[in-house]
Amino acid sequence: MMRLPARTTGVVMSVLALLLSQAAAQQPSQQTEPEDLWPCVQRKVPELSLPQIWNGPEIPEEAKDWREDREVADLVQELAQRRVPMEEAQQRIRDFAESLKPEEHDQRLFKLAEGLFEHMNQERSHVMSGIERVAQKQIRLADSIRKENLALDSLTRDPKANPTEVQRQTEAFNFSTRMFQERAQSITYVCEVPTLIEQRLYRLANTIVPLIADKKG
Amino acid sequence: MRRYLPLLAISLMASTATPALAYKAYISNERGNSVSIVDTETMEVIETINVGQRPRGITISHDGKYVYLCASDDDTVEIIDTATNKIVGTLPSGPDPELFVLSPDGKRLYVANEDDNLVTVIDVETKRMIVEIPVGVEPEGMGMSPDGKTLVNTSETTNMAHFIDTETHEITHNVLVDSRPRFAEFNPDGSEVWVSAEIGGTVSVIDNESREIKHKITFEIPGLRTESIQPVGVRISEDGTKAYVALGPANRVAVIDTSTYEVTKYVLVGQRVWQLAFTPDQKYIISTNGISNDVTFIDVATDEPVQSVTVGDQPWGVVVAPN
Repeated sequence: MMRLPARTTGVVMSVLALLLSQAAAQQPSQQTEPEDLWPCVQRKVPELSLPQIWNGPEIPEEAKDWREDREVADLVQELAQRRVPMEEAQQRIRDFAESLKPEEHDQRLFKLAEGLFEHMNQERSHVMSGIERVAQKQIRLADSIRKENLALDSLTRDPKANPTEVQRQTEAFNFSTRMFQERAQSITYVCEVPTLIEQRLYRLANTIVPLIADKKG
Repeated sequence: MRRYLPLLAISLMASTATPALAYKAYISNERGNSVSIVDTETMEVIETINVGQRPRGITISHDGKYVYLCASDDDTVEIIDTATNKIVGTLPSGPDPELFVLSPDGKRLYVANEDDNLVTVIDVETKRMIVEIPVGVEPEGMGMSPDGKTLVNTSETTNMAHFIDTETHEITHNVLVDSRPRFAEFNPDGSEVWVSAEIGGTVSVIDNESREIKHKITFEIPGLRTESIQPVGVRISEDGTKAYVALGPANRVAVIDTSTYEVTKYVLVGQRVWQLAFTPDQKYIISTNGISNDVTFIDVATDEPVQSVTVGDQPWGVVVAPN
C-alpha cells in the first residue's frame, strides 16, 4: 500500500491543522475579514495610493477622462503589459512625449500617468482577489483532506478491509495532498505579482515625471 | 622656510576638510544573494560580492575590519573581510537569523532567530555560541543600550519588546507594543528605546528607566491609505535631535523631531523602504528600497533626497564602514 512518507505527511498535516484551526475559529455567521484569507507574507495593501508612485506635480482632475483619449488609452494598455520590456516601455513614453504639441504636452502626459495608475491598480486588485479565492479553496481542500485521512486511517486499521478500496482511498488521499502542496507552491509565486505590478507602475510613473518637469523648466 | 611649515599644513588641512568623506556602504540584497558596496562620496556601486542565501541583517565590527551578514536561508552569519571583500568565515547563528546587534565593546553578537523564538549570543572572537535566550514568537528587532547593559528584542507575533539584562541573559521586562514590532533603537544617551510596529503603523517610545511607553508616534500622509504606512527601520542621529523611520510601502522616510516627537517631513525615496544607516560623519542617511532595487542618500542637513543608486535584487539592510 502506498502512503506518503511520514515527514511529508507531517508537514502537510501541520499546514492543514493550521488552516483548519483558522477556518474553525470563524463562526458561520461571521463575515470573513479579507485579511484573514490573505495568504501572502506581505501585509495586504488592497489598493495603491497615487502618492506611493507619483512624485510629480499634482495631477489635474481632468486627467480622469484619460479613457476618452484613444491614443492614451491604447498606450496605457500596451505599457501595463509585463511582457513589454521596461526599457522599451520607457522609450514609448519618451516618444509619446516628443510627439505632443506644446499646448497639449502636460495635459496628455498627466492623462497617461492617471491612466496607468488606475489601470494597473485595478489589475493589481484583480490579482489580489484571485489570490484570496485560491486561499479559500485551500481551506476547503484542507478540510476534505482531513476527512479523507480519518477515513483512510480507520480503513487501514480494519483487518477485514477490502484491499482494492484501501488502494483507491490511498490514491485519492495522495492526489488531494499533492494538489494541496502544488497550490501552496503556486500561491507563493502568485503573491509576487502585486509587487511586480507595483514595481512596474512606479518605474513607468518615474519616467513621466521628468518629462513634465523638463517642459515646465 | 621652516617657520612657514605649520601655516602650510593648516592651509592644506583647511583645503581638504570641506569635501564629504568617502566611506563604504554595504547593502545586503535579499533576493540577489549578494552584497553591494557603494562609495558614499561618488555614490556608485564599486563592487558586488556573492554571499549566502537570503542575506538580510548586516553590521560591521567597530574597527571596520569585518562585515557580519545574516544569511537567513543558510542558517548562518557570514563574516566578510573588508580588506579583501571575501567571506572569511561564519558564526553559529542558530536557525533563520534575521537581525542582530553588536555589543558596544564589539565582543558579542546578539542574533534574533526568527524560526526558533530565540536570541543567540555569540562570542565573536572564539566564534562560539555562548547562550540561547528564549524570547517571544518570531523575534526580530534588536537594540542595544549605549552602555551595553540592556538588549531589547522585539517579537513579531507576541507584539512585545523584551528587555534583556546582558549580564544575566534574563528577560527583566516585557513591554506590549503595537502589532508586528520590527525594529528597536536606543537614543544616544540611552534614556529611550524606539520600537516600530509594521502593522500597527506606529513607533512606541519606551522610557528606559520606567520601561513604560512614554509616547506613541503615528504617521499620516495625505492621499495615502493607512495600510501602506508600515514603519520598519529606525535610526536616531548621533546628537539625538532627529529620528528617521522607514515607512515600507509608503515609499517614504519620516523625519521626527525627538524633542516634540512630531514628524517634520516625509521624504519620498524608493519602493518599500526597509532599513536605514547614517554615514559616520552624519552627512547622509541611506535607505534601502526593496522593490525599486535601489538605495537613496538623504542629506541630513536639509532632509532632501540627493541621489538614488541602483544596487542588487531586493536591497534589505545597510551598514556604513566607520573608517
